[in-house]
Amino acid sequence: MNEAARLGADDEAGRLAALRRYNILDTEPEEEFDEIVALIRSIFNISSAAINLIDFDRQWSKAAANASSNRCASQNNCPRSEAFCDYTIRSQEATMIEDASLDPRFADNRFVTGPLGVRSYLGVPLTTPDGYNIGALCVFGTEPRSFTSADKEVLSNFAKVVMSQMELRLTARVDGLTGVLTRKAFVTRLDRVVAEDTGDPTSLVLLDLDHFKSINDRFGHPAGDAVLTHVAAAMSGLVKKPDSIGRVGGEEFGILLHGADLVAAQGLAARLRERLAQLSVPGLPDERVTVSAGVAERSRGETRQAWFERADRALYAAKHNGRDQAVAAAPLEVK
Amino acid sequence: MEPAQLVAEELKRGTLGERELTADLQQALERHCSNLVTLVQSLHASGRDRDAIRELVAVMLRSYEDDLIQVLGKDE
Repeated sequence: MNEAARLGADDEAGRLAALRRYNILDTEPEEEFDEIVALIRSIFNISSAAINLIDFDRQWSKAAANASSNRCASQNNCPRSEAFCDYTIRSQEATMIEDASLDPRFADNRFVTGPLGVRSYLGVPLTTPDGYNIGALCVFGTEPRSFTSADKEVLSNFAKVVMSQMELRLTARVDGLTGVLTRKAFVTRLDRVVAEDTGDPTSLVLLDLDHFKSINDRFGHPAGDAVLTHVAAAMSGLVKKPDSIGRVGGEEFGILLHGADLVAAQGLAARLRERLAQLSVPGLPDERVTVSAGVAERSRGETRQAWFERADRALYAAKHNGRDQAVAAAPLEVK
Repeated sequence: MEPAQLVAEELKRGTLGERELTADLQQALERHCSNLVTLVQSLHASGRDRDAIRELVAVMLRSYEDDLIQVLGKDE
């Protein structure tokens, strides 16, 4: 077992955080993953194959294929304590079971004794690049079967392919430099708020780094990147889930605040400006980082575009008024 | 056909065309292809049918490319 894998095994909180990063739990079925498990089932000539993620207390199937259908509803969500794949992620290696009805660990399991009638199982961990086993890729059948080391090798390599596909999706959501959401992912979060339209107070803060071009011009782009990274880290220290931060432009960030009215959002903007005033970026000891901000609380029924524009206009006003300040957006005009 | 050659051929047939990839996406694609090559090697070693392997590589690459194109369109 390598060092990273051992770390993952001992660190359940880190493992769950890694799983959450992929934002995959409870998502809709997707053709890409359904196709992969269908191929695996076919390659192994076995009754079922699945991509299973192990949450805190449950196993959830992202994709499952069996002989009668592409979805294996009975296993879509099951208690973690009953999940074969939980053994797989704990053991760090492939789990090979020739006949579960003869295996004391599983003989009484309802997937063995019940209508699913699982006998044989081969599972390999889905391991993140930083060593966390977030789930397992598995094949299982209703007949006893002796899996070979070649089978294990094939399934392990399929698991790596599944993970590289999941990594790509992560790349789509997370800005590579700062670690906050990409513009697209951030906008998706705003769209979700608009679609739900619960009436709970929700605010958007748009921030723009003051004189950022000057930092790039005087110290070079690596220095500019360092400033962006440190500012994003400072924001992340103040903003807790379910709130989110996105990089919505080169040096522009957005903060989505759930349950925050305009006053609360202005308070957050003020605390952030105070924190940035203390910020020291390595290599730029005398450089003071300031931001301008526009703050807008969403009105019920307001579109995402209108909400964003109000925050953007407030940000523009903050810039126009001399920078290093936060401006509250004018309320939505009712026509 | 060698696994690397098989993956390279299927990649050429793909839908990415002349799209330019950023360095991190290029690295991600290369990592994925490397994983596919290893998978093909293990499938060959386990005696799986060669036509089925080619079909599998094609399906898995198309699936990855679809996701990649989504990523490329992220700021549109």
